[in-house]
Amino acid sequence: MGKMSVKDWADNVVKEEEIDRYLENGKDFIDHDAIERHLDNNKKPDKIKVRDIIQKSLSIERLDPDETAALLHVEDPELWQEMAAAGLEVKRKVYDNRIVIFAPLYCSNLCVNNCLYCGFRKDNTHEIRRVLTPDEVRMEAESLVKMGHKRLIVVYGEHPSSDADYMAETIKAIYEVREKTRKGTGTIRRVNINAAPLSVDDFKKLWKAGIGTYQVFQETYHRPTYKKMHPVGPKSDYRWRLYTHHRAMEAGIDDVAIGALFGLYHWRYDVMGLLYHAMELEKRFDGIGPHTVSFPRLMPADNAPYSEHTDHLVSDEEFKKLVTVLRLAIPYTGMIVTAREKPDLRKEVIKLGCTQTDASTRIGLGAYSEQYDRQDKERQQFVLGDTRELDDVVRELAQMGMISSFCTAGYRCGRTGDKIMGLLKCGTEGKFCKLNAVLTFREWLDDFSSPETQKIGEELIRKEIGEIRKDAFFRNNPLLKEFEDYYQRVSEGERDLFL
Amino acid sequence: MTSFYKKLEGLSHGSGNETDYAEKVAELLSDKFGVSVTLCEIFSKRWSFLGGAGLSHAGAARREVFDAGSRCYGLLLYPDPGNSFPWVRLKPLLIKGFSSFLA
Repeated sequence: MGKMSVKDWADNVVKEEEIDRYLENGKDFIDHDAIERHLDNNKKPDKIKVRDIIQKSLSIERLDPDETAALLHVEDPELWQEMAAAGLEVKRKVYDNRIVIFAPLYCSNLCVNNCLYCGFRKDNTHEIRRVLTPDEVRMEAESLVKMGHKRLIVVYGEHPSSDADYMAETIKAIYEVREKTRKGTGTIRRVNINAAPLSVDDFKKLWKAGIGTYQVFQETYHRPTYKKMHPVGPKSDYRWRLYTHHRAMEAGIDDVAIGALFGLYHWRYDVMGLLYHAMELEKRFDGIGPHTVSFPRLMPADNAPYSEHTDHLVSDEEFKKLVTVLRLAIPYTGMIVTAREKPDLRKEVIKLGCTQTDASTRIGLGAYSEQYDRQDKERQQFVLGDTRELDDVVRELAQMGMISSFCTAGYRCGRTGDKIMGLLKCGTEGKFCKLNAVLTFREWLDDFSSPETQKIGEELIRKEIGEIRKDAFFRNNPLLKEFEDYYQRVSEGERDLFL
Repeated sequence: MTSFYKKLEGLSHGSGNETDYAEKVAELLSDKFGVSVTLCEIFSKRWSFLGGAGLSHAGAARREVFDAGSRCYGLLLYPDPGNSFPWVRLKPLLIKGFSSFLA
């Protein structure tokens, strides 16, 4: 950052020309009046219409705003049950029964913004501030590899001490980690990034460093609420954030992830905002929609009063509804439920069609390598609802008939962006996923599982292999032979074989 | 076989950019060896698609990596064509071809 002050740095983050070039007739893609109109016009939808919409989603077609608004207003419990079942079926068609596992790694909590709901906000003097050195990041990654993690979401505050160069350095440090396991060697194979909006040039730095997915959440799509929640700093610019995925895509990062922080504004509105965002990405980038959608709920944060006094807190029932509608509205996308939620609710929400979740989650700076388990509000962005170990989560998923996948094959085979979107929409990616899920689950069981999880996991793997052998897609397909060869080799200790 | 190598060598002299070149190389190799071929540029662990099998891409049974200038490229083949694939002879031609797009 040279001699530039933190304030000057923050004042220079937003580049108007990197917003303006995406606008259409000076307007962005969040049409507030249209969203309100769709919501108003689709109250009390009739059953036949809702069932038609469900059928459309089951054919893996993205819903339009009127259809989504109609689902958001369903009141009949029986219809909600049908929608929930359809959501799981959509997920099975696109992703089969696997759940991708990841862990968050927080690298820094210095921030130039002052978001009213966030523990990292700059005016929060209770927060213990820290930026991990590359060596400390490496130590965190080593701890995560020893637990069995292969995929991370790495999180940074918005601050010159954690700029794009720092991010690239941390990505490199994480990829360098290699740890001995019971039968092989463990590494982090995919580093996804959750970071504040960047310029195209900065995104190119992350691209060259080997970023997986770039994730950032709009928090809320409702402008007045956004303005109130984000009073200062670069984050106060709604459009700079709204178009950050466009800039990432322009820089070559073709897996981008969107999300909203539910609880800031009305949940129905922000579901519509996410849908509009997905539609805009599809329109601008040849059908490439969001790689994943996240729907965190506002959680209490230290010295951030708004987090405990919002008018829009989302109840558990509303939360399940919004997840169900998102699953049906954007059927091809991955859906992430995190350890913000308590174990029982997370279990229920996974059954609504989620594709990814985290485990053994710690969000304090240095929490993995320094092994502090207590949730220190002064070191965290918010309070977690679920701190269970990876082994416990994997076992629970296996008991639910779901296979934990540590697969990172897609982005190491050129299957990103429009390539993976096409395969997702036609159901082919799910077939690859199933094979790679079994291979990585085999690795994980042999290298990390407890005896109890191993026992349940072996049963699940036998069932999965049986299904693969019976599946018409694999019959007379050389993939099956390749898979069986790889499975044998992985069982014997070879690592990181994928299709 | 000689005409095949000449054709491969000539691809980089045609019009178009690196992506077009990758597409043509993948098509030529695919036709010649009867396997699915994808070309990627490698950034650390990310293999970023350049050209080739695309939507019909059916996995990778064999991966070959080569450097051209400061860049790193990867070739994905499915199924593995085995010894019939003359990688030792192909590699320098691809290095030369991709190097021609570096400023």
